Amino acid sequence: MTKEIETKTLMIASQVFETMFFIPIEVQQEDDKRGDDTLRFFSAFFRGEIGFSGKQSGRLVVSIPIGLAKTMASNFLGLDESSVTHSQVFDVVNELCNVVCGNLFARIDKKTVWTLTVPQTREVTGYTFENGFEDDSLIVRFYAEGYPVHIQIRFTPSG
Amino acid sequence: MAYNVLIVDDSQTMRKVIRKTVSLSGFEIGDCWEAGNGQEALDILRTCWVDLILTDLNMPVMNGLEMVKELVKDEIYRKIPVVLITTEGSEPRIEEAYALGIKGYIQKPFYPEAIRDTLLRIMEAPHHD
Repeated sequence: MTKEIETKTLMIASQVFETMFFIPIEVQQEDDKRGDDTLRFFSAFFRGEIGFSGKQSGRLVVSIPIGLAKTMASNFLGLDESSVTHSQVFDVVNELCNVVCGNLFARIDKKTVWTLTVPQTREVTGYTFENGFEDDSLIVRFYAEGYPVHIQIRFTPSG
Repeated sequence: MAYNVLIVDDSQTMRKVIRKTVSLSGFEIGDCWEAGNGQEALDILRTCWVDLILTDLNMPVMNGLEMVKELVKDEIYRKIPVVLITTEGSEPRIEEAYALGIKGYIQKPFYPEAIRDTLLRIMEAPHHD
């Protein structure tokens, strides 16, 4: 199941980044260690979070360096990067969470009605990525425009 | 022929992108209004003539399905074609939306061509009401 979710998340991320932001993603290979540490080198991130519930419940979190988020917002809105507002970047990260999460669970189980919460994005400084969740969360890593992107999925234990 | 369009989505940014994408797709827009939820959309309908509604599903205050349920209660509003533009992909919810009377469904992320083809199919149908 974990491998299936990881594969589907990457497929959806690839589709979403190309369709919405015109940015291809580069999937991290297993022997590529960059993703484990590179996010630590950024002083600040945008961290978008959305809850889901259906057959299972939990949270999906997207962590994106600010520079990449601005480029994504600029491409999405068709505006010059210098004219994109902070609020618009937040909106775009929210939408990214919404689209990735909605598509992921529709592909995992189309017959189930999955309910998503309203996504929320905040700026996180001095952030060590691994502290965001407990160890049992699934972390899908890839690069876009040379920036590392992490998508974390954590299911709430049942019972 | 230009159509008056009402775009309903709780994200202002998404509303702007949908508006722009629809325009770029070659579908001709006359007047265009935006609402942040279903209730705001119903308020706009009281004063504006709308030919087509493009709506998200998950929104605060009044969601897309609740809005459609209100629309079908009204003799005039029920004739306005409603198209869902949403991340929602679960079959039971989409089937419920069609059963309520929506005319089309576009899943995000979308290509402009998908929007154009869907909207033209609906608006150029002989009796879209």
